Amino acid sequence: MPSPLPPGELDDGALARRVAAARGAPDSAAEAELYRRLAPRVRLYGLRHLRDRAAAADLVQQVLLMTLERLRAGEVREPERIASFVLGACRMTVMEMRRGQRRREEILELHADKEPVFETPEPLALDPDRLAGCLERLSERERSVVVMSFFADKAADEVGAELALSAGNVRVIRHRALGRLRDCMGADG
Amino acid sequence: MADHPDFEKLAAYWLGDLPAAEGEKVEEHFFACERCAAWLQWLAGLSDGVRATVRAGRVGLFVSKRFVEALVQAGLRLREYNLEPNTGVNCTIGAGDDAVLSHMRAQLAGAKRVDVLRRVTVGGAAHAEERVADVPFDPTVGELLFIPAAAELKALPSHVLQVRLLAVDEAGERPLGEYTFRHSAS
Repeated sequence: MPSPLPPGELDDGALARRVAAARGAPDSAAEAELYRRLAPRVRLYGLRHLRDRAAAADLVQQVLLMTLERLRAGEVREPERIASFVLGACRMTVMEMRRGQRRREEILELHADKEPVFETPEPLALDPDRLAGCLERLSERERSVVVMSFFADKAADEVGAELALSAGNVRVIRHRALGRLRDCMGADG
Repeated sequence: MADHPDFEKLAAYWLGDLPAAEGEKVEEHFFACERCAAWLQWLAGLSDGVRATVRAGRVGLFVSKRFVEALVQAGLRLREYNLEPNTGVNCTIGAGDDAVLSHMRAQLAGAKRVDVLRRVTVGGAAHAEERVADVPFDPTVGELLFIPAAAELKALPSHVLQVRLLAVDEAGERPLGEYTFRHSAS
């Protein structure tokens, strides 16, 4: 029996069960909420593995529209483990994208014209003035390591090789600098 | 949810620093954990923010050759000045320049730490010399690469910047070179 609670008060699994239970008449509120909630995680996965905003946005659409389709069709065995299903779909799709088996256009065409448009939350944007000020407050070494790491999303060994530092040393500097940036930016967990 | 990866591990994941198996564990966790997904969004925001800050010339940096190549690949237009030790150059930054890159050549081999001393003179009035300790460098490259904050540089009047590089170790300080930038406001 699907939960009668508003979609915003359900966890991912309960939302997925509700989408799956509404077979003949799609529960658009539950679908939109599930999409809104999972889209940032799929985008993060896409950015991390594809390092390309447009490709990450395509991945969000491809994976989540396919997920909703499978839920509606009763083809997701454990809707309560929907996050795990979506992660699996992300891995498979990125692998296909990398192998060049599917071009972006083909991927998008798969679901074109037959799906409602779901709203994807905007990515988090840090305050640019505050970030510039906080970067200025770091030591030269910390600033260079942070900027060189995050400008092109580079691992510690790559940054270390460019500055004649060990990867361990870069990690220590990066750790200290990120702690200071978090404090300065007022980010809390 | 128990056993959240710590922030350092999330940063290492984001930057591609974790072995594949460990990265997969982080993914399994953050797909089911809104709190860790939120921290990763903060890190993604930091990547975007750093790129925007660099593009806007809002931060001064000592950098590597590879980083300069990355800037050029990203489409930034650089004006470059090459200086041997104890020399000077007439320099400027144009409206079409995204950044100015100074190559300060120096005998860096064997240096453990390099400090930079900077003095700006505007209209004949010299400001106090400021010391920037322990700047990052690659001793094998034979030059220090510095990109000043372009936004700030574009707003400055004509001035002279004198830079002294010092190698610092237990035995004391060793001068590596002096460099004079005679900057004309554009």
